[in-house]
Amino acid sequence: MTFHQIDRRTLLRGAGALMAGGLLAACSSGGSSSPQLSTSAGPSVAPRKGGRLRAAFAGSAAETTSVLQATGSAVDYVRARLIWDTLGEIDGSATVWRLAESVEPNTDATRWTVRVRDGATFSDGRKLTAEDVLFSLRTLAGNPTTQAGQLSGLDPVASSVRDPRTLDLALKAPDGFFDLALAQSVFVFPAGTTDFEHALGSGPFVLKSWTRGASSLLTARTDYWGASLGGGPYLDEIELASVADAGARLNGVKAGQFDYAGGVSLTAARAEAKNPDLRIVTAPQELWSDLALTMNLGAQPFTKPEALQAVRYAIDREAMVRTVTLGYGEVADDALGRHQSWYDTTLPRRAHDPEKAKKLLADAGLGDVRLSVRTSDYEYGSLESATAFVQQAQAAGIAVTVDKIPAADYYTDIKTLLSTPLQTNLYHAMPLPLQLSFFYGSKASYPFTGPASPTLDGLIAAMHTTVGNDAKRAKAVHDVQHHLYDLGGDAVFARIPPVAATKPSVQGVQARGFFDYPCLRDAFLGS
Amino acid sequence: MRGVPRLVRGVPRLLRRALRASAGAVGTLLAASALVFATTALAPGDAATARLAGRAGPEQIAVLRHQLGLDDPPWTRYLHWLWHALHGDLGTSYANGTPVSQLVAERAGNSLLLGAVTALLLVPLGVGLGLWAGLRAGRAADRVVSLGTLTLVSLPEFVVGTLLVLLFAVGLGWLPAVSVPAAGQSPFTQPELLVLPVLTLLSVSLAQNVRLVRSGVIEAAGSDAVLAARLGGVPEHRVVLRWILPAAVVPAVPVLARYLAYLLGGTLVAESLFGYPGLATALVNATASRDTPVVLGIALLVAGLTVTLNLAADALAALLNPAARRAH
Repeated sequence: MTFHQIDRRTLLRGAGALMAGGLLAACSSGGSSSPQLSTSAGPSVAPRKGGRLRAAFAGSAAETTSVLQATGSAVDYVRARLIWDTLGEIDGSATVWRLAESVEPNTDATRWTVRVRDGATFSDGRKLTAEDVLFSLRTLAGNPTTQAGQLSGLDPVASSVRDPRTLDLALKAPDGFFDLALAQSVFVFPAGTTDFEHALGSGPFVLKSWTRGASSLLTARTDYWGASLGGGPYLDEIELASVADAGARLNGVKAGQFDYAGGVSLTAARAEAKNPDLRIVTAPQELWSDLALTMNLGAQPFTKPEALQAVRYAIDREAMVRTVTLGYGEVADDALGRHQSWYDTTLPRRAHDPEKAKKLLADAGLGDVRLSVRTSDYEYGSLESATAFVQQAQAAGIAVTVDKIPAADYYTDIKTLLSTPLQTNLYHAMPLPLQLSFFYGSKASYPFTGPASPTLDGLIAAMHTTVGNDAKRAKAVHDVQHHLYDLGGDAVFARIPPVAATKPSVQGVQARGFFDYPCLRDAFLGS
Repeated sequence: MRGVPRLVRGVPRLLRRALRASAGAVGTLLAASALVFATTALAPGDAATARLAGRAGPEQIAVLRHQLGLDDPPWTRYLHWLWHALHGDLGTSYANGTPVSQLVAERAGNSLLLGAVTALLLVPLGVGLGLWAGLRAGRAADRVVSLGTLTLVSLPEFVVGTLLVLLFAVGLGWLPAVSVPAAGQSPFTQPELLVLPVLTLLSVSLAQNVRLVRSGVIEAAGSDAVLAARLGGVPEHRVVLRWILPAAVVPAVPVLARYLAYLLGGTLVAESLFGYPGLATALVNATASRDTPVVLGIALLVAGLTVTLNLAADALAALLNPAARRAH
């Protein structure tokens, strides 16, 4: 899940490789008749050099050029990805190392060895070394950054530089999935940097000018080290505009003012689907967002497993997909992260069965249960789901009222978030092992589903201590998923695609883990 | 001591009124700051949770909260802020670390420009059209103006703005759909960014002002003084300038002043619709981010403007209207 503000707090792990070369991915679900959308895996034409790409993304009050706050808003994030290279990125479910050449654990995953790529340079020509990487990791982990949460397992003091190209990273506890954490926006800047608002980067572009809350102009490096890996930069310049309103961003593309607009609404996608001057694009399905009704296992009536199951059977998932996602989404099966390689595809689908829900409640002595679902219109899908559930629950004999919270208050009130019996959640896609640890278990940062059982804690611990090939690691993830499917507090019922709008000429835009903050490194303007 | 009351009595009446009004204004601003601070303090969450909730762990939020001084009691923070504010330091933004005075100045400049351009068109157009229609009450010209203004008044700003975007930006491609300045530029250097927001703001405000002035003109035109002047053979243009116009404009002045304060304080709908970087969107974003220093900075500026413009409007109305002047 994530917490956007007027489009700000997105931790949106949007689509995998959204290349703006085609239309959206097919998103039929569960046999329902859905609008057909498609995506392409890469640019359909050879890259063309030159030109300026104009793109609009949501900004926020937190806009800054500081590398330590680069994930604060969509527009800052997109800009940061152009200025600072990262150790690695996520493409689909796989890590694609960038500044790191390789990342390997020891036998019990208590230490990880990072080999830094040879030949990487900062924009002033300085060579990028393991010292710079360790400094960046220590700085990101030691400050209140969003990366610090993922890097919390790192022991910065015990970590060291072995040689100019090799780092030994020590962890506080074994973690076989620490490679995924290292692929989460670990921006690298020179060792000794003190002015983080003007930190040098090794990325393909440099910031030429910036006006807070308005625009930034970036120019391509002619000496970009990464060109040897294949790819851009192909553009001469990129101009990024900070536009809070999604409708205004779309209008900007329609009027020819922008070439690309991130964060477009589903209703606009439907309205513009046949506009020949636009391309409506979305993410591959593994990076769609999950919609859930979150039940707190420590609050009545969800201390009783029957209440949990009753809510799950009361939800008409097909109807949610048709109405809430306008048919563009797909059904989810009470587990996050569908279509990721870590996801257990054997999890069965729970049918919509209001009679069974009624019986479960009656058997548990909860025949006249009344529920209030906390929600907000913070992001599209939450309030709509809650409203739809009110009617669906009636069929199961559950009286539900909607408690709508102002968008600005919804996620800032953490105490309430962690104690509310029933609320809506929109989980933005992120690598499943990280996501499960972030939201479930006694050590979770945001345990919305309340207290964790020793069994769940044991499974999560086992997941982190599993070292080895992907199949072995996936099995450990499946065990956690199975437990949550049976006894967890999240009823994950639908998946919703994030959407962007682009001119047909724009090619080579890649999500690389973050659809709403795409990577424009290899973007170009086709004819 | 016997001389003091005499001295006080000797102060010109206008100066005394100005001093009284200024003291009232300072009190109003102080009360506004306390109220705004209390409101932000009572809102759920704080700047640390607004920035990091859901994306970093509780430990990082606690560190940020400590860095921002948010673990101090609210009254301590308010007094700390007030002490510095009285010394000209409005603090730094919790959200991005920039001095509040710099942030507010950037946005205020943009809002001021948008408001001033709108006002410069609004006042002459509002008075002129209202006068023109009022003097032709019941005739075809008046009916056209009345119908036009009635239509515009009934359309919300966002509808007018959207229609303008669809027509002039998306349809004809003459003007930008989004009024975001290019990097290193501002609306001062890119005046084309102002056209659609100004037209949007004008649409509703002009209609309201035309209708206000028109009704004032009709009322004044039927007064005994105007009738007497006309019977006495005073030329019509003199009747209009001497009797009708002042009588029609005086009631419109306070309304105009309030509208100007609204314009200068930022206009949320127009700013949001066009992405214009003004004060109103900055205030909304700062509120959502629990960025108390910025909220206070903008609130005080807007409150100060409102108070000043209302005082100016009262003074202007008093000058234009002898009866009101005597009443004061």
